[in-house]
Amino acid sequence: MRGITTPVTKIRRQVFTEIARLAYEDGDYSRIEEIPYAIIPGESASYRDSVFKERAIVGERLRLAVGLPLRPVDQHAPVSQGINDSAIADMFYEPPLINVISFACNACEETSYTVTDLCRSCIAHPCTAVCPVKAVSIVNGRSFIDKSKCVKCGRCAQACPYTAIVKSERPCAAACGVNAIESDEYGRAKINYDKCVSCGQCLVSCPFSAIADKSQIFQLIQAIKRGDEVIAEVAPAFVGQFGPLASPEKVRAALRKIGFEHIYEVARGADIGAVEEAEEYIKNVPTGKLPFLATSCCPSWIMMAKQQFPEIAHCISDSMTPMVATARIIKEKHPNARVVFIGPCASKKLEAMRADIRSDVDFVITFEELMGIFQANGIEFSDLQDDTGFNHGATSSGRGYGIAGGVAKAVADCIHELAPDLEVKTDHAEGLVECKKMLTLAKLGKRDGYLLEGMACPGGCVGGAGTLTSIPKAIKAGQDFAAQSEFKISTQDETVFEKLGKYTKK
Amino acid sequence: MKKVEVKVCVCTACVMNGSVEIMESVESLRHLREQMEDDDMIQEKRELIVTTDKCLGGVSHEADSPMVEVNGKVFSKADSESVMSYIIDCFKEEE
Repeated sequence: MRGITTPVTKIRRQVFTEIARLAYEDGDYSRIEEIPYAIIPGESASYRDSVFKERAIVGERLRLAVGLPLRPVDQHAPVSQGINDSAIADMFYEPPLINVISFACNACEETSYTVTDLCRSCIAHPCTAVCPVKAVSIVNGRSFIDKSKCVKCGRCAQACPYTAIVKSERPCAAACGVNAIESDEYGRAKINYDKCVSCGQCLVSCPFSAIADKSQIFQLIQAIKRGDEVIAEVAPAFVGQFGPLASPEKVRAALRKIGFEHIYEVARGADIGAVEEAEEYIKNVPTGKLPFLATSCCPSWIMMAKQQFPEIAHCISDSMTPMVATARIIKEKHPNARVVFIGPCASKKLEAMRADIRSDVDFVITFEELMGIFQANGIEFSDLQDDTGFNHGATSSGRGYGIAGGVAKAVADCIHELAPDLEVKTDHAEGLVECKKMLTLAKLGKRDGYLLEGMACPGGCVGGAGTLTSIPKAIKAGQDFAAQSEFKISTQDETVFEKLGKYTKK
Repeated sequence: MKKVEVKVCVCTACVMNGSVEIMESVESLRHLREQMEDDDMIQEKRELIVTTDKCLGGVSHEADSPMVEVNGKVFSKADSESVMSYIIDCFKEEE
């Protein structure tokens, strides 16, 4: 459903706008009880069987948007329960990040193969012949799959000449690359948090809008209201996210208007990371110390790799991510600043909670959540003057980090500059299923000598869970912005070398 | 050639409610129009012009977003399906 606006998308976004509006009000926040009636007006249901259920689900989404946990279904609790405790100017978070609103879940059937009406009762019926467990038979002249026997190999579906056999999957589980979606006793989706790497793809794939992550916009706005020195670091994927009128210069202007004192490009931190990972590669891979080097900027990819491939975990660069490097640069110059990472990513919210990063990054919000804050402030991009502070910004390499393949290209380009005689092979994977395939090959020794880039989201960061724009549009906009950079490759910007080794170590 | 002029509002509220996606679905009709012409479903060639126009020259309109105008007809709380089908009707319309 990416790139298609549905009622599900609209409700998700409306929640952010309304919570931002609420946050700007003073005093008692119990008015949150009224918001479900604003988002779901009228007396009859529009989406589900009951208007009361629709509002209850919006209530849960509102709670997650202010950082509060879901309410237990079997106990009395108002939507506002705990809201005044969450109205603080600091990160407010208790796990888990990604939540299934269980009574919104449709309890979709787990993966199954079904014979549809397209079955023509053909004489050949190859569906039966290819089944290795005798689950397919002809019943009343038509193909029939005995689900108690079926092992879901899919051979019958491939063999049918009429494409009459379909595979149906739960959209959340199909989007999950680490098989973290299980079922509760009612057959509803339940996340196994030991496996989940918080990429957020399930929450944008659920057609019933039953999965949501927690947000920090409520607390961020408290910090802005208090007059804190709030500084934004925007991820490279921000370009093109906020509509045709929102050029990078207008986005800067809008951020200033809502109270950010400075705006940094995370692509600057990416430039440092690219040179460091290039040096790490040159030092370790050609010398045989490491069989290959994997990049470290996507936290979900790193979590998956460390969990599922512990034997090759040492081949992942131990550089901190561009988010952290940029935050540390900001904190060095502005020690009292509150650093806000603005990105496409659910997983960065979790990364910023880590004990060794907590003091670097104060808040993490997504583009979609930021647009809610813009809307609550009545920001219209066409009314703003361009803010040209992105001049002398990051290189094309750094700005390419948000697009799949861009990280590997950036690091490989730096390797070419630093060691022109060295031949470097690269591979990249997008989506955790593909990432796993790539690491399986690497484990077998088939990626020796390589630089490997993994991105948990299809398309790279531009396909992240917190984006607003379709992936092709975001890629185009990102490439155009990268082309405007003064320097093409991170190594060409000499100021990067002054910063090496200072901001990315644990 | 007769024109079908589509104006899409791209104010903050409209972008939040999917006006960019509506614009993409309208753009996708160029290809469909060629196919329909080949199949003789459209008799007369039409030119499709898509522009963005903040708030269609009017005032802000959060409750009505997204807003789209097709040959002077204004769609409030527009959705892709209504806008596309109206444009296809405009393609088919005879003199």
